[in-house]
Amino acid sequence: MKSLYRQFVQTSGWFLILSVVIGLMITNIFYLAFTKQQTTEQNLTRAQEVTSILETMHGDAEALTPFLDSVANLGYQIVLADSEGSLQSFGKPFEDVVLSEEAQRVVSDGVIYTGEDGALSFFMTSHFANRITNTVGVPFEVDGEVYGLFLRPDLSLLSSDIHTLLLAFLLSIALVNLLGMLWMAKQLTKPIGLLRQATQEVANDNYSHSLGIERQDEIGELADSFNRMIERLRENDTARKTFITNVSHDLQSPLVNIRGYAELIENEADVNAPSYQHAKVIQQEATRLSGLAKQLLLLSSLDQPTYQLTLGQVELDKQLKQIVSSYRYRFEENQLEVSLKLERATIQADAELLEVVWDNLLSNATKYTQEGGQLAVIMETDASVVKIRIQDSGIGIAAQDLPHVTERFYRADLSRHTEGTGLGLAIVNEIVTLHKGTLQIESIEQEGTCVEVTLPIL
Amino acid sequence: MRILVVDDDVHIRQLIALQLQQGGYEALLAQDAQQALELLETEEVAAAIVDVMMPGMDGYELTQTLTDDLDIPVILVTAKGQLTDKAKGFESGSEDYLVKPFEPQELLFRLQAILRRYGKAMRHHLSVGNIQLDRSSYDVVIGDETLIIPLKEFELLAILSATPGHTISRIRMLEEVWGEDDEKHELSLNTHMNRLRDRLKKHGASVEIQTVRGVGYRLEVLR
Repeated sequence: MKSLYRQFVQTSGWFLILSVVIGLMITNIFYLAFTKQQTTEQNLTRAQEVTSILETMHGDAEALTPFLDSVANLGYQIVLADSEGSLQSFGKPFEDVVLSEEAQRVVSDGVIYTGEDGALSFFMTSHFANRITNTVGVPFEVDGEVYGLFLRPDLSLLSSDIHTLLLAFLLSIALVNLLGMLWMAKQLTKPIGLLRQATQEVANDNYSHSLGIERQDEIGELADSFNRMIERLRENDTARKTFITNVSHDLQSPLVNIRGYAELIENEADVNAPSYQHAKVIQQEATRLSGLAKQLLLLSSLDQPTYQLTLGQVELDKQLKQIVSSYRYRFEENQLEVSLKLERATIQADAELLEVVWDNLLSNATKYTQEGGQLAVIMETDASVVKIRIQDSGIGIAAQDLPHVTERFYRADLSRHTEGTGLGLAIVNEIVTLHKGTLQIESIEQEGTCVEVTLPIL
Repeated sequence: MRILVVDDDVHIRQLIALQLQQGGYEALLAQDAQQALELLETEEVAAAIVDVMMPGMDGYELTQTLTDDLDIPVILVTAKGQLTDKAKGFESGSEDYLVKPFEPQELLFRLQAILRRYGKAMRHHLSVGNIQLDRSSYDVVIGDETLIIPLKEFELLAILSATPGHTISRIRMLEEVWGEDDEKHELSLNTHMNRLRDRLKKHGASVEIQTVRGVGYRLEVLR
């Protein structure tokens, strides 16, 4: 992704370059259209003044040199051509001291020379080149001899001070402009970065994040309405969670009573009395109903298309250990041996949902393993994935049922066991898929089942 | 032993009371935190069972008061099984957490564990050969593997591990683990010892339980 800030800086850079180019072009046109003409005329006047002095001096050819020397010292570059074609430079010499055909006509035909356009004449810079073609030439006579005087102001003397100042001025304007742009860009993109961060927090179900943007402009207004939106979302979220908690509490409490009192009846009844069996059935069904209520609540939130995982760092080994230890009583009841072999692993995941996964898998493993059986929880990691295997020595799953066990409300062989809701593995599958993991179940009847959950580490 | 039960649902209160009575405890009932704290001004309890959702002061707050100020271990009971609630529960100082619906036996089991743990100065960690025993969580660690074994077997192993190399008599074992030296438990002791031996071997423990004929058992570290 190209960051906004970079784009802004790049664009400003391009604009700076573009403005330099366009500026140059405009000055160029302006120079060619007006200034050049003017300068040439000025130079011509200068040259004619010089030649008229020379012609009225009535000196001989010898006197030309010191006079032209002194004129050159005033800041001119001068070339003197005589009728024989020999050239003499005064002041700073030109790059090439050769006259073009056009220029030679000053001496031979006595015409005025106003410079020539070279191949690059579209660019004004060519008019500043240190060449004779950029001079003006006028003929004059001294002692009956025809000469040509080519002249132009010495630009190297002219440019030095004021031009350096001008350049420095322009460069500082450009620099200040650029820095200003960068600062402005930072100011504009910073709140956008903050907004992006805040939306991510909200996406992760964290509504406590508040934007620290205090501005009086459009961005400030955006931040304000964003904060209001988060506030509303937080209220909704709390309402939803409170609802689920209340429903769950109000459903579970009566079920606890039904089950508990049924157990009291069971304890008081004679083992052979029908009421003993009836109480047992009530207990089992109450247990099933309470599990069902919990799972349906969970599924109803998982099924929402907008469901978002609440991601955080989960220390899997610790989590598994904690859940396994909460199963102590059930293990003890069935005299199970449980072994844990857990490599350390921390992954980015929804801790609450993963807990549901382990809870369901352990519950299945305990439920379907006979007294004195074995259970193993093994976690292995490599560079990219963690594998968690929950293995039991239980009754197993029949081959024809195996492909269907993750379907909702699918329950294998109803006559054998009445516990369970048929939703456990469906939920496990859903949660594992939400974490971009895979669920693999292998089972041999009467030997045991092995459920393997593979989760990506990143 | 007296246990305080705080729950706003009268039926649950009575149910837990009955279950506690069957487990040999006496129950003291309160319908909310307010009443519970009033009762505690005159009564003494060994532990408390507290419902999280109650009108007025909620279960977390009450737990905090009970554990911090009165030094009473608390089991929190709730319908919420969610992790954040669990974390909140442990933060407030509760010893254990029970999610509705629970089996009465499970409640008694956890209560026992807490009472055994609470305020008793016992060496929690035992280490022999490559095995470590944690008496508070009842875990056996062999190498990089954690093993959870039936409680009776754990207790037998703990007794043997406390004095490795020393022979422990069968009578003492029966008394400590079953609470009575009765012939009817003899067979059970044998079975448990055999299972324990198998488990240690299977999981690569560097200790072995040896039978001292006619006397008892001894734990030896293998070389």
